[in-house]
Amino acid sequence: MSEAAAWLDYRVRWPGTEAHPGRHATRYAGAGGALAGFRPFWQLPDARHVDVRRSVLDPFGQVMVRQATSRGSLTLMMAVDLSCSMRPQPGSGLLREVAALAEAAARSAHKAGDRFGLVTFDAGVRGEPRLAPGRARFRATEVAAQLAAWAPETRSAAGLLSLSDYLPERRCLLLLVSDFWIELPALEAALAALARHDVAPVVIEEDAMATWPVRGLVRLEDAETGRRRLVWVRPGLRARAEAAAEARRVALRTVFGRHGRAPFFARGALDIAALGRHLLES
Amino acid sequence: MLAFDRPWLLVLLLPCLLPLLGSGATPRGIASLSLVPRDFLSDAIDGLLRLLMAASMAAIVVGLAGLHRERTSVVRTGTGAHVVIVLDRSLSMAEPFARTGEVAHESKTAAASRLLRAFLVERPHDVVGVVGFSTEPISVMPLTEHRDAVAAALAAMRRPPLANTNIGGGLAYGMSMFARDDAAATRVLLFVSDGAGIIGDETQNYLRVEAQRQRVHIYYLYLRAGDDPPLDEDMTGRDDSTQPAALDAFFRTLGVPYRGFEALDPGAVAAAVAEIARLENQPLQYREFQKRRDEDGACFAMAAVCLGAFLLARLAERAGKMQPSPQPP
Repeated sequence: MSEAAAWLDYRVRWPGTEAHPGRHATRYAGAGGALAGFRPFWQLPDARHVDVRRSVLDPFGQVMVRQATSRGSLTLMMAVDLSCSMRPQPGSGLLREVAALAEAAARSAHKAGDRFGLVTFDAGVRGEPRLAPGRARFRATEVAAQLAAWAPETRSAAGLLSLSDYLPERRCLLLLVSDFWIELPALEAALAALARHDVAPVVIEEDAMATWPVRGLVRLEDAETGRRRLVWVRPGLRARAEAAAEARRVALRTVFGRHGRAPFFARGALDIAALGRHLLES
Repeated sequence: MLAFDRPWLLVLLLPCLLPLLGSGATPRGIASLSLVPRDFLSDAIDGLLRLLMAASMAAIVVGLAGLHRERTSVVRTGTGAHVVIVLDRSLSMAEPFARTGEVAHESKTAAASRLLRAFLVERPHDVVGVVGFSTEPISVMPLTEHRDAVAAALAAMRRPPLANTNIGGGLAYGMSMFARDDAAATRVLLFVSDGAGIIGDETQNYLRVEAQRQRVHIYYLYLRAGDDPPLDEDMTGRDDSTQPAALDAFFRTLGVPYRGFEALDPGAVAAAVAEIARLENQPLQYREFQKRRDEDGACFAMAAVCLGAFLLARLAERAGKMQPSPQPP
C-alpha cells in the first residue's frame, strides 16, 4: 500500500493476555516488567534482585527478593463493516483507506509481538475476507488487498450484533471500523455484547457534500436502503446537513462513551497517525 | 366537444405514469440519506419535475392522438326573420336602373343584388333563401343560415338575365320554401321585380292559402324605371292585371301584412330595404356554427413548455461525478 511507513501506535490500560514476549505489561511473573511485589528468597532464589531495604525491615529477618511482571502481548482485532454504505459510489475510496489501516495495524502488531486478526461483517459476520488472529504478516497483506478491492453488495450491517461470537475469548483490543449507520439501540446492544473487549470505534464518515455543487439539484440514493431523493442544494441546506451530522456525532459519542473508548471520526480520509494519537489518549 | 382522430394512441398514456414512479437518471450514492435533512422545497421540486415529465409525455401522446374540438352548432336567440328573396330575372332587369345616370350605369339586378347583400350584412341572424324567376322559377338557395352562400347566390344574380316574367311561378315557389321551414320565426317574402304580370287563378288561390297559413309578411320592391306605371296608379275601371298596381292590389287582398315600395333609383331601394329591416325584427332562434378546431398544436406547445422547464432543472443538476481517489501504484 502507498502508506508504506504508516504505523499504528496503540497502548492499552489493561494487562496483556498472552505470555508471548511483547511490549505490553502483563500480570504474569517474569522479568522486564513493573514491580509486582516482594518474595522471600526461598520462594524466588534470585540473588540479583535482592532488596536490601526490605530484607532489613522484614520482621522475620528473611531475605526479600523483588518480583517483576513479564512483558507480554495481546491480540489486536479489527472488525470491518462491509455493507453497501461503506462504498456509496463505485469510485469511493473509503475501503481503500480501511485496507491501509488494516495493513498498518498488522505491521504495528507484528512489531509489538501481538497477534492480529480481522473479521468483516455486513448482514452477518462474513467468512471472507477474514483473518484468524495470528502473527503471520503476509496473510494480513493479502486480506488488506482483498478489502481494498471489495465491492459490497449487502444493504445491512446487522452482523455487528453477532460480532462477539467471532472474536477471541480473551480480552483483545478491537478496532471497530464502520460508518455505524445502524439504529442506536442496536448499536448499544452490540456494544454490550462486546463489553469483554477493549472496543476502539473508528467512525468512517463520507464527506458527501464536498462533491456537491454550491447550488443546484442533486439526485441521491441511499446506499444502505436504496431510497432515492432529489435535493436542492443551497447554503441553508448545507448548514442544516452539517448540523445533523454534528448531532449524530454527539449521539455516537454518548453511546460509545457509555461503553468504553471515545470514537475516532474519520471524515473523508482516514489519518492513521491521528488515529494512533487518539488511541493513546482515549 | 373534444374528440380524437386516433383514439387508440391514448393507450400510450399508461406509460406516461412512469415518471411519477421515479426518474431514470443515475443518482449519486450516499452512505445514508439521514445525513440530508428532510427538505420540503426539494421534495416539492422533485414532485414538480415528475409531474412535468409525465405531463409533457401525456401532452405529446394526446397531441399525436389528434385532439380537436368538433364542429358544433349552438342555438341562440336574436332578432330577425326567415326571408325568401324572390328576384326577377327577366330581360328587363338588365336595363340600367337610373336613367338619370349620374353614377355608373348599374343594372336593376346589380343594384338590387348589391343592396340586398348590404341588407343581409346588417341582419346577421336571418335565415335566407333566394329564388330567381323568369319563365320558370329557379331555386337558387334554399333557406339557410350560411351567409356566405347567400351572399354568393345574390352575387351570382348579376349574371345575364334570361327570358320572360312568370311572377306567379316565382311567388309560388318562394312561398313553397316556407312549407318546408317549421321554425317558429317571422316569415318574410321579399319580392323584387321591375314589373308585374298575370297570375293564374290557381296560383292566386295557392298563394292566398299559403300566405295565410304560414303568416308570411310580403314586401313588394318595385324597381320602377322612369316611364313605368307607378305602383299607386288608379286602376278603377281598368282590368289590366299586368300592371304593378294590380299586383299591389292583389297582395293587399291576401290578408297578411304587406307593404309595397316603389323605387326609382338605388337610393330609394336602399331606403325601402332599411324600412323592411326596421319592420322585421321579431325574436328569432338561430344556430351558430363553430368550426372544427385542432388542439394538437396546443398540446405540443404545452409539452415543449414542460420539457423546457425540465431541461432547466436538468441543467441545474450538475452531474459532477465524484473524483475517484488516486489508485495505489
